[in-house]
Amino acid sequence: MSTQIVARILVKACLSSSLYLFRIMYQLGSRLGYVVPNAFFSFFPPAFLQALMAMPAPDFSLCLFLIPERVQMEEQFKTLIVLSHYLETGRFRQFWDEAAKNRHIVEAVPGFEQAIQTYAIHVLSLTYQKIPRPVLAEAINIEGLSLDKFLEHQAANSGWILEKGHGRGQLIVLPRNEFNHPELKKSAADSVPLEHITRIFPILG
Amino acid sequence: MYEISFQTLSDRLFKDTPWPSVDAVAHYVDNDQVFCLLYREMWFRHLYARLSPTLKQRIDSWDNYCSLFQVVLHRVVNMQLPNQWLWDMVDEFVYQFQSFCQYRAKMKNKTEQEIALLRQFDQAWNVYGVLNYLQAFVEKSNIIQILEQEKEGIEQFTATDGYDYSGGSNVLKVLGYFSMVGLLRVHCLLGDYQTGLKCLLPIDINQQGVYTSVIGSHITTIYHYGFASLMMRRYVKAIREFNKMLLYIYKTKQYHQKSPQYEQILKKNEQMYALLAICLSLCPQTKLVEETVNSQLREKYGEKMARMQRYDDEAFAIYDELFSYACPKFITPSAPSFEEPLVNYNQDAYRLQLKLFLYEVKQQQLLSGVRTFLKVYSTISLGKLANYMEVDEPTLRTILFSYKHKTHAVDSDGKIISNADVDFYIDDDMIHVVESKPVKRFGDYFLRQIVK
Repeated sequence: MSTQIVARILVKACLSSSLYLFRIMYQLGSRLGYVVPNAFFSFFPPAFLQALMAMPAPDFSLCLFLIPERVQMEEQFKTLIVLSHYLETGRFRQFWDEAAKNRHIVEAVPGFEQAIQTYAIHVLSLTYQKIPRPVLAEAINIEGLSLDKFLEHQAANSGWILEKGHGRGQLIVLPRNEFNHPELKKSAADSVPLEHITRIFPILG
Repeated sequence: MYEISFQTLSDRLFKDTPWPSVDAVAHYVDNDQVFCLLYREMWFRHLYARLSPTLKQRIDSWDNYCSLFQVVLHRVVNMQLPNQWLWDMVDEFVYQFQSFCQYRAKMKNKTEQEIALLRQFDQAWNVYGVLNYLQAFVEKSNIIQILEQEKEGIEQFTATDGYDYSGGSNVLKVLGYFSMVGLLRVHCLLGDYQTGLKCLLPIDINQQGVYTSVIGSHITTIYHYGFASLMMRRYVKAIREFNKMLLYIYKTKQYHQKSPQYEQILKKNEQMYALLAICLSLCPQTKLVEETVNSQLREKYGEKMARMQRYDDEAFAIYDELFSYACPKFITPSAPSFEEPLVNYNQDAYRLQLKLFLYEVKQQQLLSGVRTFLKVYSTISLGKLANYMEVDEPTLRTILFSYKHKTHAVDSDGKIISNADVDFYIDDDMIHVVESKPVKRFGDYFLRQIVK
């Protein structure tokens, strides 16, 4: 089996979120004595970009638990780890700046930018009821007319509402959820799993 | 006989020596193959516990497991064995795998003879072999389907503790069941926490089950479940399970004082307290912890927990100390390269997991400060809070985003679950604090009383 085929299978395993399969194939590659760096790593960054795109799911961190430290010291990995760090700590401005410096990596996977914007909106939706336009713009890296179009689209399709702020520009009202509107939080005390109820069916019968 | 006599005889007659070889006893049992394989398994177990196995003995033990498991998987086995024995078999199998990986990774002082043996028997204790056997037990026993059907009332398994009272055998089914716990443990040793938790999914750890019928299995399940949850930032789940387990051990450990596993029980108890201390320092949800457990925790780690929440250099040293004490003995499963200069790589896996754990702790460094202020205010402007925290507003926003992301984990169903003890939302530039109230659950209590 050629190095290229092993590498492709590994990427596929990572993309399918089968970390177990990923680990098996990685170990297989190592055991069969392939030259792991270079040709192999040309396939790696896209796989890990896919893991970043899964945020807020911890796929990227879970991948890191499986990759030996010496491999993580490779330059391309270091860049991805930096990008991940910015996303994990809410530093969207720094993330977009770093991504711009490494376009050759981030453009390897179609839809990467949109996926990160989706993650940014997820974090904003946990945090804000009403968000000032400049804060949104920085988080999703869209400004000016492009942002106007984006907001129109979100207002038409995702329930966003555009308001005028107190002399400071636009405010965007994000859709209500239990995290930015605590009164919507369903009380866990009200719910009992159906499996627990089935225990008393014979008695009720 | 298994639970008491073997231990008693070992203590009295074979304290520092192996039991008689299988060849010496075989003729007493008419050379019964299954008996000999089972006896040999216990022979090796005794060797590992009391003495130090040689490389050849490690390899022979692997061969014995292969032969024994082939019989169970592919032949009709007409016997019932105690659950304790079946658990011990799985537990020991994983332990010997872990021990072999640790042994093999210390290449520096290996003799030429040992290296030659390692090259020759490179399939012994191979990670795929170990995982394949455990997975084979799960699949061949149909245990997942059995547990599903049990919920619908079609099958009986838990109610009989896995035993078969209709003339059949419990061996394959119960080995399949315990293998799910074995797989959780192996995947944790490899750092694959997500897969480990997936393997355990068919077992409902919120209910009593066969896994609770043996104390060793119960503790191993909850310890690894809690550890994997901690590494995946599912702190509330980890806290709940550690709390329940520690309370259970507190109430029942007196009944296990004479058990050969008593020391292991105590060790795991201490490790779980350390892990609970870590979880509560990262996710202060002390309301989830029972008073008895809380008071033990304060006694053991109260001072360290206070220091951990300062997130200074000393705090990271304490996180390091507790993690290193309480974590599983991680392994690197791949075979060594015999060509390069021989080095020890037995610590590599542990160092990686520790590094990534501390990296996560560092990312949560500023959250503690936010929490302190949020507890004091019901509303506060971004500008004011930024001032108090001595940062600018953009930096404060990133801290608040980070707080939200780190305290809202993704569970196994892909849903967002909040771990936050203190939460907030922002309206334009005003932060509104939301303190979570403890949820009183009455439904389960009433159901239990009705069933009684």
